[in-house]
Amino acid sequence: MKWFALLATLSFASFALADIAVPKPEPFVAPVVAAPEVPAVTPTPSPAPLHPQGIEKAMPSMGVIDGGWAYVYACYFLAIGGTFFYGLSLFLRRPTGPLPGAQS
Amino acid sequence: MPSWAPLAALVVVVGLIVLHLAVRSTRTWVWKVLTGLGSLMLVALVYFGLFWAPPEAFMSDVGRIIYVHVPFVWMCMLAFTVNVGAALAYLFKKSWRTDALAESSAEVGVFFGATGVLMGSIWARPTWGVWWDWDPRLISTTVMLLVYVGYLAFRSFTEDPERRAAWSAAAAILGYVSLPITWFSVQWWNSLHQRQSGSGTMDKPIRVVYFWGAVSFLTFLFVFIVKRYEIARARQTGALELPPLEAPKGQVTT
Repeated sequence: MKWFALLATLSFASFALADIAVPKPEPFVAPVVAAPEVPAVTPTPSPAPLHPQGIEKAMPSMGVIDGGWAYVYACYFLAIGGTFFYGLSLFLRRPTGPLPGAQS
Repeated sequence: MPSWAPLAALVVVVGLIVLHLAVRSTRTWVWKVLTGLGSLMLVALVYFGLFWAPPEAFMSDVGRIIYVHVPFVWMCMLAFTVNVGAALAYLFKKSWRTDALAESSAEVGVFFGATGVLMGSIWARPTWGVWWDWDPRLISTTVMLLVYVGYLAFRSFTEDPERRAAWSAAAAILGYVSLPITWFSVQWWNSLHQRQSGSGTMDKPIRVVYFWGAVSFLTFLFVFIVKRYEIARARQTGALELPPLEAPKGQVTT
């Protein structure tokens, strides 16, 4: 108990000391040496766009996929070939006899 | 894409199918006209897509895959919508016609969907650097396709025609839940797959070829569904028997 009382006393004392001992901020002192002045930038005339639709079109193609025609051909071949062969499969499976309801 | 475009495409396909089934005199020539028209449009699509349309802004010439990949997936979803419509119609009023229509539209949808996914995989290689990625859109599309492959397998496993029709109609309605999940997956989750392109995100030449491709494959969607429907109807009535897997006892096969 006495150790607890001592700890509490020390804690409160440290809090009080800490409260007392808060350092005051130092006053701001303006720098003696003045900052160098930035030279004025003279605007230069922009060059004429290389492309009639603007500079973005004239820029080199950054981030644009180059080539890849083999993938395009593969997809078109798949589309046309798939359509043809599925149609052929339907033709080969076609019913040869009269369809239901055809005679009525 | 305008918001009314899928509904308009569905109305056109369903209208043509109903016309084909209801008006007997149209059965002999409408599908032939549309096959010829679709073939011509497909040849023109190759020219428009590969040579006429401008390259895409970032994907350049690889972006030309959009003219075949997206219409295929659209046709898949339209076919599955016809499937669920036929299934609901069967449950409201039992009819072998709607059962056959459900079977045919499911098979055609699986064809378009599987081919579309395959094309998407080819497209992913130059754009994403991989053939496949476990992305929400890719996973949901795969699950949707597997659901309908299971639907077709279920139909082929069940021998009792009435039970097959009723149970598969219920399965079709349950399986259709996967379609809106697939459609909205790119909006609901962070997806590597791009969001749906619309009129505001595409230049006019690209948009024109895009819809040209959709209409081209829409004609084939109709032709495939009605031709597959005829096969399903012939099987229902026994007009088209499948060959037995094993020869009956005592019979020698040559």
